[in-house]
Amino acid sequence: MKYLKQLGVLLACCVAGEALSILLQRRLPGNVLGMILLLACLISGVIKTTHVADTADFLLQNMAFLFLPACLGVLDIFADIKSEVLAILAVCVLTTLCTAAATALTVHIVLKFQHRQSEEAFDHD
Amino acid sequence: MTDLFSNAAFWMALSIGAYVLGQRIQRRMNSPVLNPLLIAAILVGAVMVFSHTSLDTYNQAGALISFFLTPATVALAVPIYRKLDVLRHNLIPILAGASIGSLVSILSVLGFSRLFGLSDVTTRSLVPKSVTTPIGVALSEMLGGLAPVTAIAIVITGIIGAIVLPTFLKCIGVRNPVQMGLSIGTAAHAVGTSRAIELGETEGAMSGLAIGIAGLLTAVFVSIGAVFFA
Repeated sequence: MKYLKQLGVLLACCVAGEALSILLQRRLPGNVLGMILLLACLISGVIKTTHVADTADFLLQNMAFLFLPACLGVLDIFADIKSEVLAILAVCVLTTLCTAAATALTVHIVLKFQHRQSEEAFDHD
Repeated sequence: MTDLFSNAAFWMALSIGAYVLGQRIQRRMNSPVLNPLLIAAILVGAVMVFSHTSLDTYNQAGALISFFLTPATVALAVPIYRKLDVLRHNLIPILAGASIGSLVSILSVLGFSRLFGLSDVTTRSLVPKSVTTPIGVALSEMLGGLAPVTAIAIVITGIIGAIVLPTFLKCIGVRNPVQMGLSIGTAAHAVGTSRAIELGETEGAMSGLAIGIAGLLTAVFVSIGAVFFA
């Protein structure tokens, strides 16, 4: 019962997000808006963590499994993308490394900058 | 036998069984190359090919599984809320990292796609490949890409991320768990996160946080880009 109720709350956020997406003429996907709505509700206390946590954790812990049908979709489109498969793989590998490196480097630079600033502030005291 | 192969419960049970087996194999062999999603896809795919089962038949079960991606995406708000303290404390590095990471992801796809001579439609399909499937597929459709190509690129990205990124990031000198988790989540969404969770609690939470933040930022960047370049 607990899981079903919590799923109901999550689905209500999905529907609200979808409605908002239609209102915004589809400029942002409904699921992203649903996530923002749920976060806003959690911060403002309208929804408490206990109203969604168990089902949310269940879904998130198994999120990789939810990708399986998308993975098997390759069986249907493989013939169409056969000529581009190697290039797609190469793009995926290279861009994934670039993205992770760029993120790590940015965090590194910002942390270093903040650290230096706080040290300077300390020196001035 | 044919009846069994058109039964949704059979494919559902096989999918879950193959994934659980994949997790067991990975834990037993302790090797990130043996990604549970990859193992499950190969096993289920092999049974489909052997039994001449169409994707439509499989999707009687598959649609049920995919359905939960949307509530799972919404559920990402929960780890963000739980780590609100860490988020507030590291707000600038996290936002800066996820923003630059998401931008580099989009731009590097455009660059490498041109370099490797990919078609316009394929390039459009690959642009949102670093974010979680429901967000990525929605963005791909907005851009005029092909949803199935995007879905597969997203899965490939996730598996590559899960296998390669922890070692790659360690090699380039990443030691901070916030930095590690954020980078994995920004580059390789939920599938990467399933690996980040194994590295540690902070890595897992930051990676989970990054799925939501990078997904949101990518959606904003793509929307802005679509308006400018329409």
